[in-house]
Amino acid sequence: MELKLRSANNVQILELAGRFDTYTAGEVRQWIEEAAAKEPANIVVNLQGVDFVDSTALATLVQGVKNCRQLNGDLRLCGVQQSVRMVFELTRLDRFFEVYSQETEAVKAFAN
Amino acid sequence: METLKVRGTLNEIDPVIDYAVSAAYQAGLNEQGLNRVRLAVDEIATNIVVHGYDEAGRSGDLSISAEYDEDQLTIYLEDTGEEYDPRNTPPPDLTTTLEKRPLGGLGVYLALWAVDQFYYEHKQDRNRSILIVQKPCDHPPCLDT
Repeated sequence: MELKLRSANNVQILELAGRFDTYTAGEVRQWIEEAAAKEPANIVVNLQGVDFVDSTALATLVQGVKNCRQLNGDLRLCGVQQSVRMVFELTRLDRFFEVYSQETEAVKAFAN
Repeated sequence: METLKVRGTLNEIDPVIDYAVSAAYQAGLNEQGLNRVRLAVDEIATNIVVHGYDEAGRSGDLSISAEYDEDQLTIYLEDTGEEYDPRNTPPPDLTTTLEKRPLGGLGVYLALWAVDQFYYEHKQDRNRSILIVQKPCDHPPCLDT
């Protein structure tokens, strides 16, 4: 899996591509833990290039959103493909995340 | 398809998943079917490695084989880890708040959702998980009824 990191408007952005699963989640978890420890803990995870997530990936994102919200920040998602969206809906985790179609929208929403 | 055997470690799960996806493709499953097979095999194989081997202090192999016909794909996962029937896993509570939501417990739920039938056997110290995905009868309706 590929990870690309950048920031915009005080928002830390993690763009992922490939398979987000048990084997690859460790690197993502580490990045999110570090990013969520700094205030403002505002993170966007861009999943546009991710065509597969498993339960470990979901757990990684759930832990991330919990950590961010403890510091009055948030972890938001964008570019969620249909196959990935289905897994979020099946586990009813979709209601815990703000999801945007575009990364720019997700970043902009933090300003509101 | 010829059986693939790997060591039962997380590092070696990828080839197992690739095997399952290849089998699903050869069986003629559509994209949704491919995704379901990938999800189910990922979750069951991960469970075998994490719970059946690592947490039980055991080590061993993980093998995968597959067969298909015009109606369905059947995948067999075999290991020598701790005996455990995934169907005995309590279903997750999906109604709780984010704060109370446990991080784990979704893998088996997703795997069992993803397949049409799931069987588990334990014979001669070997665990065998059998995953069956039916081929969908896509629109227009099948004419072979």
